[in-house]
Amino acid sequence: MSQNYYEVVVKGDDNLLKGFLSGFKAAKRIKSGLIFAADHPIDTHHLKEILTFQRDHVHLAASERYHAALLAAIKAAAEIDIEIVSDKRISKAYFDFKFSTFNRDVASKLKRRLARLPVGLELADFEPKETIEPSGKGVELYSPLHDYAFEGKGRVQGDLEKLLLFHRKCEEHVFIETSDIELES
Amino acid sequence: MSFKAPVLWNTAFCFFLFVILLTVDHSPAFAAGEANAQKLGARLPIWSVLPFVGILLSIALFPLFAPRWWHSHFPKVSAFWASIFAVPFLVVFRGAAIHEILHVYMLEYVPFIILLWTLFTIAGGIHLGGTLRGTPGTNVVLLLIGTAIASWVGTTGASMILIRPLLRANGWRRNKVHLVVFFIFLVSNIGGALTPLGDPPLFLGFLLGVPFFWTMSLLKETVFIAIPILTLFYLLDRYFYGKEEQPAEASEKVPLRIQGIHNILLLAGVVGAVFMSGVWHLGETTILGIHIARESLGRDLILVLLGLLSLAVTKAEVHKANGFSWFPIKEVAFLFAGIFMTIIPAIAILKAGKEGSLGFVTTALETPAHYFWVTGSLSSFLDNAPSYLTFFNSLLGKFFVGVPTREAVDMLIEQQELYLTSISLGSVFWGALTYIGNAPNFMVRSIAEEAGVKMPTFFGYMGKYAIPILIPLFILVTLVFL
Repeated sequence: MSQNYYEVVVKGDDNLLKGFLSGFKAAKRIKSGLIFAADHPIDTHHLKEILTFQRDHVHLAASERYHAALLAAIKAAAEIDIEIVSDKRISKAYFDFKFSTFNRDVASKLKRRLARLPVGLELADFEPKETIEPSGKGVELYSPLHDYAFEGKGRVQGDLEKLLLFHRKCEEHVFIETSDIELES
Repeated sequence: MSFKAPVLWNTAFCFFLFVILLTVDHSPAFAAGEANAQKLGARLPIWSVLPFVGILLSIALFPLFAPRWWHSHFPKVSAFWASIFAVPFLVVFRGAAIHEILHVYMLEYVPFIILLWTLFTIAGGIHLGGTLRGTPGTNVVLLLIGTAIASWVGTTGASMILIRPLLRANGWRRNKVHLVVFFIFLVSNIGGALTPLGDPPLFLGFLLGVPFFWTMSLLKETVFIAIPILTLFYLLDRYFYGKEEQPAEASEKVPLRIQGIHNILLLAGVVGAVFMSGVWHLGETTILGIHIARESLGRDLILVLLGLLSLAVTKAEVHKANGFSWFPIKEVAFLFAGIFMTIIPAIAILKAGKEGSLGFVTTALETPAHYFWVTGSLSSFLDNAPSYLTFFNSLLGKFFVGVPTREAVDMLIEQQELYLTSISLGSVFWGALTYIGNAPNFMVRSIAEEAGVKMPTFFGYMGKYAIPILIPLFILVTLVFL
């Protein structure tokens, strides 16, 4: 990750915390670097929280630049009943994807999209497979074999905010299926 | 895999032979080949339908789970299931078995394949070209035309003619899945209910004696189900259309035009030939001991000539534009050769009525609604042609045991018409419930995927579209008509 992020879990009402975060951002004139996880496809369902039925845990992600200020602001706002539960540096953020198409134009667009990742993001475990099967040419009644297939799966990892933007682009592409973004501490 | 296949083959074959030899009644009459299908059905064990089940499951499952393997090996699979029934059948029943096999192939299989070949060839020579813009109105009109012509050019023919123009017209749109799904509902299935040319099960009914225009009596049910589907399609399409980014107007508009228009005349010839064979009786001729109506031979000859004529007068560019190849019809011919062989015991047993091993089927199914739902459920997961054939014979076995088929069919229409309506509607309408319910469903899915539409999975198609939309309509059809 080109920029360090921290996952801050706060106990409190989610609407209250959302408002708190907006106020914090407005006061500090912050445009990026603070993320309210529930607004994004970020997997925050930690097993421990599920097992202990802790539904009032709100997950935030803060870049290193604002991390200390955010912690200080939350601690200073104890009177509104919010409390830091955990604060961990995110060592890795990623999402998995897979795709499959039988159309050459769609395949070219997919290749272009995956070849031009934004700076700060990288592909991992990428396994594309292009199959050309001349005997599958034409359309058959009971043998839906295609003469061309492009399929694959992989993982995109890197800077959290760039990952969020790229994840949205992938979701907009009907042929790419994506998992939620995972955060590893 | 390759070294295991012969071992599997031999084991299965020996087991089947052993079971048949053990379980059938070896009366001298059978050995002499004098028995008729009626008696045959009373003596064949229920296990003898296993190859039929096997071939249907192979057709349903292999294309989904091993398309590459299936593509190269389906003739062997068909031959495997056919011979696993045919050889023990011939060994045990000798003359009766030869007569039954010849009867099925000469009177049912060959005419069935000739009609499909002719419709496939002629429909493949019609191409709708030009610039179409996929608005909700245009799409409804395309589906309406497809639904209307499906009964005259066959569901496969109508699907082949119209799916590419529909996809081309909507190429610029992001949400296209619903277009293909509703196309499968209406053009590839429901639209084919009105003539024996529409859907293979109805043609099999026609071959067995159902009058050509009897299927027109299904018009009210067809309209009843097509109107809500078209209305829902229009509302859904208008919703998605509103969400699309409108494309820039095409700089050059090519006027709509139908290439290969002479093939429409040839299609009229096909309708005429099939209709003629139903109303014009020229007596019988005997080939290899099988009595064949001369008008049927004349019909098949005319159909072959019409197909050849279409090939001769259609430009190669039209076939190319349609992506025409012989593979699909070869595929059907090979697979149905196996189906017609393996269905022999099922039909013989059902024809035997309560005397046969499947007597419980004829007694368990009582009302027309039962037949609609059971024929339908089977048609949606197996192929609808053999499903129709099975329950058609079950009806004859239930009501008219021992009556010759042609007379029994007349009596069925006269006395128990609602039952015939039920199995006809069940086999045609329910074909839309899955990708494997009717042959064009798979074909349309395949064309759409090649055109860059992300089609739902097998269960996605059923769960998201077919079950929520069609099952409530089938319930309404049952309540209103059956």
